[in-house]
Amino acid sequence: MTACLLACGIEPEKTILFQQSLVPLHSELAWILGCLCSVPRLQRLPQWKEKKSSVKEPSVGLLTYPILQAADILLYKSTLVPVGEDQTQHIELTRDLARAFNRLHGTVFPECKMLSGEVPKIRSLRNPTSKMSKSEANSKSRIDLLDSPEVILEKCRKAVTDFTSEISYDPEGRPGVSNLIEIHMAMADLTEDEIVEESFLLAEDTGMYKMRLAGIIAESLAPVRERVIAYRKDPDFLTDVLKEGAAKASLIAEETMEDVRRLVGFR
Amino acid sequence: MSVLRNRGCALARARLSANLCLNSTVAGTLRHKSSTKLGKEAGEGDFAVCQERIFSGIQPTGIPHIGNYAGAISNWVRLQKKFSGNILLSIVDLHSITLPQDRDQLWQNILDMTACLLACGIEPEKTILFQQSLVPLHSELAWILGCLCSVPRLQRLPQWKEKKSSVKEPSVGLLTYPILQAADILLYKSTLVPVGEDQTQHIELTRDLARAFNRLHGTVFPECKMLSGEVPKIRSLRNPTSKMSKSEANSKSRIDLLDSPEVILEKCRKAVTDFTSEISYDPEGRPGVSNLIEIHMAMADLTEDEIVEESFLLAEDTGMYKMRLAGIIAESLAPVRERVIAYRKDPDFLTDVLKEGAAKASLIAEETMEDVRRLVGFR
Repeated sequence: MTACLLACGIEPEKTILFQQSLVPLHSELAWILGCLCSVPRLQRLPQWKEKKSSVKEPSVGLLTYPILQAADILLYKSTLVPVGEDQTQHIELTRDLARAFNRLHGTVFPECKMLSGEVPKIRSLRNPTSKMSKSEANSKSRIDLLDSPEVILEKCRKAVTDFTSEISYDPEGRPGVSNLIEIHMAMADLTEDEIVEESFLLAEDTGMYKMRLAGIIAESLAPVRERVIAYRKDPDFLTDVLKEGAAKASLIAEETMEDVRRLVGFR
Repeated sequence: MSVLRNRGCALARARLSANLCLNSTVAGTLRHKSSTKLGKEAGEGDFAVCQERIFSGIQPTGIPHIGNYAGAISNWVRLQKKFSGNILLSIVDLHSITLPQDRDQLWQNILDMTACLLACGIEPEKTILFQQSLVPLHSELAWILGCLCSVPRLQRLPQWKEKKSSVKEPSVGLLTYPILQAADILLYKSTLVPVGEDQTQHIELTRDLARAFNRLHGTVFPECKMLSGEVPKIRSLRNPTSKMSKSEANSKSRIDLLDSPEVILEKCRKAVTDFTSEISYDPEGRPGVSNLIEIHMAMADLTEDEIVEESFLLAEDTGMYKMRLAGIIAESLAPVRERVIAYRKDPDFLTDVLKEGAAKASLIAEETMEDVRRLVGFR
């Protein structure tokens, strides 16, 4: 993950990129926040209800996951959190815990808000009504950053489309084809209109478009793929990046926790 | 210090050393290793084999009463002689906030508890005395252990069921208290935990979590056992069927370490007894009087027979005995009281003691966590 983030353009000089467990203050703040959160509050969260049914013996970690998440956010006095709609209730919980702490102990935490932007929602190649996901059983449903051009071609060829020959952008009526166009938009600097027009001018049918798209994807990913492969050969470099990131994160976290500890009565 | 050695809890000491001899025999059959083998292929059965190490936690509830003093605290002072260098005593402030605390009161309580432990004979060169929140690895290990513990398991614990009913909105901290407790114990690879019977299920949980971790990730943690000795159970002066407790509403029910001789006299005078004139030791039939005798035994180097005989020879009635006992208690506590007052005037010294203790604790904790993190996959 570290290799891929760096390969995709995350710059450690601009982004503090770090491994959570290298900053033990996350769990310390999570404990303190846990003392401000009622058990029923966690049990009412939709993600707990979902996960509970799919796992045999749901662990305490699974239940208290949102509290650690709140600690992640509040430890750095974060104000904006770029997450999907499914995290709404967790961000709400984070705000409530911040408010509870501020009221009970003293004002330390700011209000955090979801930063929901217009991000492309790439769907599964085999099941275009669902998001592209690592947990989907069929690996042909997704294109991974390290897939070779041959594998990308194969997956594109097998991507679910429909019986209409030419391509067009119609997410409701033509989810498979529209998903391919979304991927195309993400890989190249084009709008859906430009993509549809180009395909029309090339007199492509869906099959031909898929092959051309596979090439575009492979070409777009090639430099990223190269960098990932290079980074993976240097785990020491990667661990250094994570350690340096943790050191920077710890400076901010330590400052927050000094205030927190004093306000709670530990110092 | 010398007063404690001469007059403190001799009878209890004798009982405890009998138990410790048994433990020593058991300990002798264990292989003492200074390091533990890691990995699934190592160790026999579910646990690592480690040197004996004692862990205890105490809540920062402020100035202890003589029930604490005669019980847990004197026990620690004795254990510290035998396990010097391998005994940890933590003031568990993280645990304390599972119930709402006033910030200034909590900090004062932490300092007061430190002052009292030192005054009662805890020696930082022998016991690692530290403040829990100064070692963030406790919560880190608690998180990891929480991922091995099912929610229903915690909900079945009797203490959760009790606390749940007495608090309006029980917090996640209250529910997961036993997991942090397990982390406290396992972080130091502790093998012995001196606690009361009411902690049995929590120690069981700790063992289960250790076993679960060892099986899933690799053998790191030893088996921990309760170290339940014969410690005096001092009862409430006003309600002798209950333990002497800080939470009892009537403050006359307990004698605090800082009580002046006048206050001690007053509390003894008001202690519930019965209508029989002379004193005798009969816990079932005469709980109030027997409790006073227990207190007397803890404060002086006497058996209950010697105490009853002495009282008889002095031709005392209960009232006279109570007055004499008050004097004995005050005299016994006087040096402790003096030291507490002196320590309280030097909070910087107290925080230094806690910081140095945390540094020593961190060395052990960091070693354990390095293995844990590697076995889990964080490194």
